[in-house]
Amino acid sequence: MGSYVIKRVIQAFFLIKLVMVIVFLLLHMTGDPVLIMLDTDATSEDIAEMRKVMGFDQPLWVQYIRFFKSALKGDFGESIEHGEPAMALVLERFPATLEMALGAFMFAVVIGIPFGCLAAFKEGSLYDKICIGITVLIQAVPDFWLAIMSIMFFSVFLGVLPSFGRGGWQHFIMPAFAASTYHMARLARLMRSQMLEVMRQDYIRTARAKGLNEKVILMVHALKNSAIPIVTVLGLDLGILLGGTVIIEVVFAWPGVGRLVIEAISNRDFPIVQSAVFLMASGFVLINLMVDLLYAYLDPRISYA
Amino acid sequence: MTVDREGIQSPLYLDDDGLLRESSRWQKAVASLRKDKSALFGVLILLVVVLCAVLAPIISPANPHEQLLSRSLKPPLWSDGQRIYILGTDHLGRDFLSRLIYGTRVSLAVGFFAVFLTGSVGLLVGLVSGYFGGKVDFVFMRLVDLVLSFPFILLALATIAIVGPSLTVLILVMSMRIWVIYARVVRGEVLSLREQEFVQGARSIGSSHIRIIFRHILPNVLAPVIIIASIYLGRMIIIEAGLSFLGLGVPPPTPTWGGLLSDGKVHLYTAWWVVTFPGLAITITVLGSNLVGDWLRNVLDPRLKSL
Amino acid sequence: MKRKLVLALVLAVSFMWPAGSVNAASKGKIVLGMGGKLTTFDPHRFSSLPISMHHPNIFDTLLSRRPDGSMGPHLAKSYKMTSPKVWEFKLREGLKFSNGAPINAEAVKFSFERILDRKLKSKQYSYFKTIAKIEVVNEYTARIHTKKPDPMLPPTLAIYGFIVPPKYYKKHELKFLARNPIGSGPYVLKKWRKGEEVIYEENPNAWNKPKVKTAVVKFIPESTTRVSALISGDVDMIDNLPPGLRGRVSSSGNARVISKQSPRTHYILMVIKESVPWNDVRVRLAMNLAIDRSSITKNIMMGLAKPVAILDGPVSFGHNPALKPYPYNPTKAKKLLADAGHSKGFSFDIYIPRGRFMMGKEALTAIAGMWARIGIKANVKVMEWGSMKKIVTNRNKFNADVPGFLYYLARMNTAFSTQHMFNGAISSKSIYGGFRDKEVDDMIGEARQTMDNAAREKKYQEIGRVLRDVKVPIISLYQEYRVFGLSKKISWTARADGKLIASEVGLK
Repeated sequence: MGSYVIKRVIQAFFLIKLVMVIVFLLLHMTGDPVLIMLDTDATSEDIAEMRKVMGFDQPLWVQYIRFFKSALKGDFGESIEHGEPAMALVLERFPATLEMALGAFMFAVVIGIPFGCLAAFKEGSLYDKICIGITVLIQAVPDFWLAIMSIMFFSVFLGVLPSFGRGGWQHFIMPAFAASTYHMARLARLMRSQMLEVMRQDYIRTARAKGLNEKVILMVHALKNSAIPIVTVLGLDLGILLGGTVIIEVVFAWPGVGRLVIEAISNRDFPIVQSAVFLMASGFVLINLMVDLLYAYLDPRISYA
Repeated sequence: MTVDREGIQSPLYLDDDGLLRESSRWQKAVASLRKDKSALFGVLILLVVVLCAVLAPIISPANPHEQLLSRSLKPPLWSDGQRIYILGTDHLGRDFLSRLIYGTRVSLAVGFFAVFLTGSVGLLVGLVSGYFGGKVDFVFMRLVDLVLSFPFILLALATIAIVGPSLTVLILVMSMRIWVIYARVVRGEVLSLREQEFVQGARSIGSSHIRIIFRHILPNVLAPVIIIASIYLGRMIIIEAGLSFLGLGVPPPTPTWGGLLSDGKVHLYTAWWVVTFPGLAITITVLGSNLVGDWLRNVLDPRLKSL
Repeated sequence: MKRKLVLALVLAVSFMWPAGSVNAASKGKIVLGMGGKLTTFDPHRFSSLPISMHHPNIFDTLLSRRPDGSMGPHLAKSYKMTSPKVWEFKLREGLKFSNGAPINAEAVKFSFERILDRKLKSKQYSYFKTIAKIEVVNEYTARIHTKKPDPMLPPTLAIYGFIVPPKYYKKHELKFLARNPIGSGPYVLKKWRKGEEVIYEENPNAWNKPKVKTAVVKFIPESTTRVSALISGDVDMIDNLPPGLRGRVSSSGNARVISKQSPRTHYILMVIKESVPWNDVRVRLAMNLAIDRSSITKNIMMGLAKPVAILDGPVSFGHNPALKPYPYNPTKAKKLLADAGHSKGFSFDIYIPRGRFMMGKEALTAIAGMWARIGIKANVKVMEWGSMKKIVTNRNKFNADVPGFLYYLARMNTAFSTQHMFNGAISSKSIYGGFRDKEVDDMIGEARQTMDNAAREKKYQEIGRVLRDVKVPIISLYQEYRVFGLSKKISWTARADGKLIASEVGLK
């Protein structure tokens, strides 16, 4: 088990390095940033000079090596449009995105799982049908639309929540909830079907016959059996959340990394994009690693030979 | 057909006369459709959407690109004396119903092709990876990790920036990440199947790998693929809407539901039909695809509740 | 008894009298919701529209634009041209920066030299490269020497060229200066959370007080959210209000809409070479006549744009009021096409950057539709700004085999002068223009050198006439309006340059 962990960690490093190379190549292929950096009144001499100063006239692999060497020192370059160290800018925005992702994750788990279980218990009832209906409906509405509508309802119409921005818990609720809806719905469905399945098992019936506390048994067995698929889903979700909060960040004016990167890409701000990708990629790889380790712990039958 | 504890599907069952019979899953599927109302609803919706997409030029009341500024933003059932605009017009005076109908083409094209692409690639990778294991599996799974490590939005924007926005690019971009899901699930299935008796049996009588894969494993693996596909069809449409919102969607003048919804949001108060109808179209279609996915899951392979 | 009465009277009067000096400190707080992105508070390194809206709150320029568009002294109390290549500025006396450093000619010299320092790689360099040297005459008098006579210097000094305290800006690192500005403007920077908000607080040393003591600017990129924020009262004022949502704001009961024509002109440029159909001026004229500009401004821009004859409007220096926008005449357009031998029409690609120009994509789609009616097929390609910029800048590298293309752009005439627009689109050396004509270049060059204002104005007007009637270098379109939403408690006059500057926003 220990050697497995080490192996995976080494793989993770290589993975991140590979991601960096690909991103570097992709970005440079989309056009060089000098044109955007300089104002519209610049002449072609200004452009040539700026290119030389920034080092864009060197061959690609030379540029990459320069970039990699400084990255090892933690220097990801200076943001082209901000004039400040890029990694610092990304790190500055990271807590906001993390807050949102974790919040959404928390909402999804805290609301999704119990609702799903409850629906399973009351299978076939009106409650169950409504639950299914709501979850299916939520997954059928585009995220940005849900976000815009919720602002109009809660901020403009009811006036109980702030319409944008980051601040206290009131600012946190709507964006985190909006970001969580898809995952919440999926989790609820997952829990429901897992529970139903477990409830049908023979040995549960036996235990029930023995008169043990029904709910407890169900919960325990259901959770144990569904651990693997749930953990997979959760891991994937967190990864998706971390990278996918862009739409929510834009609609709610949430100062996260997603917004920063989208703006940076259209301005060809390479240093920021590279810093953000490094951070995101590291996050994903870490999560994947943890999921795989959890996998191995939960089900020793799965061989990783 | 019976499904036992270890998941081996036996095509044999005892019918009402006590005779040993072989049934197809599909027979059972169709039978259950009659009983399950919501699934029927879902199938009907998808059928309508597909028909709209295929027959668009025929059933469309007008040319979706024809614009006339003097009739911009007219409400549903408005008439200019010559014809009635059933769902009104958009800000460029184009017949909205026609835009919506032609929008099915893009939404479905994106959905189906993306699903087809991702499904086939994912299936292939999952099969090969799970069956052969070892180095092959290692390489593919690392590829999977790589794709998963990649922030999706960045990928989308970079690709669109290089190649230029278009329907093809959109499909490619959305497919880039999702094939992984198929691959993982298929691989998982194959991993457990390959240890089963009937596979071992086939090996022992000397069947080639290809034969085993296609004859014994593939049929049992198709079910999860189809289920995932039907669920992701809806998800693709939602993703397209999100990309349109960020400005990365299909460029004008091609109408897409996501694009219509996103463009229309600034007309929310003055022209409600410009947002309501695309929104409804998206929701109903995705609903349909989810319902069909659920039904397929129930019918084809009840073990796969985890999807 | 009498003494008590007098005492009471004195007390009463002293209570009623406004506290402090005659220039009472401003009060109150406003919250603005703005869509643009502010990247730095270093006054000399970068230039962008958001920067030019925020930096005037903290820093002063020598001259400034009044809200009505006229130009006048600002940090300088007067200025004059002492000889064709020398401009003399007399500063207001006895003033201090917000950190107590004195505002003097040394500061002026330092500030411009900082911009011109090649090591700083300033994006404002090209605005001021006309400067040869700055001379300190005495404590409050500075002279700017230009390399050639340049009547464009004053308008430029009304936008950029912020004056800063030398010691502070020499001492600190760039990354510190990006977030910790010191200037002489109405506000100081109290707090800045990037991407979130800026908090401005009144500068106690300011000679030019802000209307309101505290101004908070929140950055909200999504337009529907801005509107929701205004209506729900989370912000007091917003900019870039989408035309379709105006009605919602007006009918909300607690906010109103203000819109004003801005000098931001939209136009379509063409790569003109021998191999393209629009090399023929008749074709270019036809393409102009085929567009129903008033229909676009009325239906797509919802009345928030005004067609222009070429590139400028009434507030621009050199504007020729006798020139009218091209009329809508598709019949004549068809005939011109036929005369030029293109009765079957032709097709081409036309590019427009995504999300950059208000309703640009919609307008261009409409224009393409109008061209289709005279047989011209335009393939609208919405591109990402970076990619498009690359294509446009490489336009001259296309050889005769590669088809020419068109592109839709807009340019803010920050200098309020037609010269600015010529630089961008008309002269052979323009960054974006596809039009090359020696005769026009000579006319522009000559006009630029003419120091007498009245004579120069006439020359620009003549150039305008030649462009519209004879040369037809571009497809001219319209100038957009800037639309703002204000809560009922805000008092504000819209600026001619369309900018929203926090220090000018007041409470009723």
